[in-house]
Amino acid sequence: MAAPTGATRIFQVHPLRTCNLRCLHCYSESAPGQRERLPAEIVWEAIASAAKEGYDVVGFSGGEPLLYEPLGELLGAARRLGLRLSVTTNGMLLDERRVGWLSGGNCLVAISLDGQPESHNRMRDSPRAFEAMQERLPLLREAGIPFGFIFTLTQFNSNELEWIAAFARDQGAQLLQVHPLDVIGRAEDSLGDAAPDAHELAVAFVETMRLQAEAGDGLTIHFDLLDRDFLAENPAAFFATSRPADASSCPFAESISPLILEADGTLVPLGHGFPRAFALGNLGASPFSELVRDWRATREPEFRRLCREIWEEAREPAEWPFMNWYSEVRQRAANWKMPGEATGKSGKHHVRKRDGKLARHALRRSHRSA
Amino acid sequence: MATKTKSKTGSAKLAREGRGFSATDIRALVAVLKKYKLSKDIIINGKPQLDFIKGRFTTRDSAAVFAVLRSVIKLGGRQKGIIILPNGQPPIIDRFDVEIQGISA
Repeated sequence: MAAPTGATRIFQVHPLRTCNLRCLHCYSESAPGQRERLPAEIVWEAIASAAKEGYDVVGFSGGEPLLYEPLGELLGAARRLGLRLSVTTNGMLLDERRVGWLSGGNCLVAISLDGQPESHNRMRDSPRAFEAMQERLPLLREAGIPFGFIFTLTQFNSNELEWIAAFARDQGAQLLQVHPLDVIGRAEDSLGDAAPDAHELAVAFVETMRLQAEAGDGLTIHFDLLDRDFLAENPAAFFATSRPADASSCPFAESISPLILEADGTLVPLGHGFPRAFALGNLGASPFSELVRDWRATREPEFRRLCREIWEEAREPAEWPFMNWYSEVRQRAANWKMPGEATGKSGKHHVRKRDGKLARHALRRSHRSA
Repeated sequence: MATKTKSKTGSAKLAREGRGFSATDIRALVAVLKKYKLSKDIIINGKPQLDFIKGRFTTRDSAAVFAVLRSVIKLGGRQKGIIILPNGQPPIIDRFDVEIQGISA
């Protein structure tokens, strides 16, 4: 079965909200002073559970994941499970030791890039962000680690796409992902009017097509917009069908991808900060499998109803042939009236940390079996 | 530091560089590219200026060629100097070299 993530099933982990930067558009409001972070044992237990549930890609983000000391060990353990990996970073903290964490194959490094140096530094609120990142790219190239760039498209920067694509190509990047700004997290205060409107999305759409043609096969440019026809023709891929009768025996990755683990231990569908009414719950209080079981019994039917509404609207004639599906789902979920019986465990706030002993054993077992 | 007020949109900056589209033009262009599902197949070599499609694109739908061209001509305001060279093998001509003459990249 397809999913918004295509054939892959992605488990996205935000192990911490500590960051060396305080970016204007940060959806997780990460910053140097943020101390929220997950114990490695909880992260590992979640990854191992996610793998059992059919997730085949684990992405680390944050916060700045290179500030998370257990990252290297977790990447190694996940690699031994056969998972594909990605690490999203601002690139400023790459050094030989951390590049060592990323080495070993199966790992794509995604570096945030917000435009030409001046624009990048303004968005990153740091005068040296671009320079520091660029200086460190040779470390990745020399280590043979594949990398790409993630560009946040705003209302004001589609004109920088050409420069970005040329920079990506010159640096030897394999991927350029263009992601429309979500006005969530810190962006709500600092970039409230900067989400690209339909016209800017259309211009960027044409620009990315042209730039992809110029770049050829060496660089893949991916634009995070959904073709409305594709959505209309593939309701199951976008959770717009009723839950299959045998769903409970299917891996959970067939129900939700991407699945997100936030730095406070909360599991949510689709994206960081997704409305809590649809959260699976908190790993500090209940094991992964229990949260999955509970979500399937309570919130999944509502989640599918919500997605069904969007799908039905996508079939109607529209001004533009594409849509920002993730943003649409998030906005609708924030205003969704959840029936009382569907709240499950997501409505509760769990703060109790579970004993990580079992997970520590699991981590050691993984090492021994490698 | 917020970039909230009085910023020019990205498309306005492109227009200032001579690479912009009006709202009507961009709608027409996106519609035609989408209608013929060219987003995966089209190869555009020119800049998005008057020569927007100067080069080659691939499609199995010959109607797409004319629909795209109509859109391009309208965008460029040009009515002349267009050559279409089908390169595919008969009976299916699936590749077209398109050149809008006299307009440099």
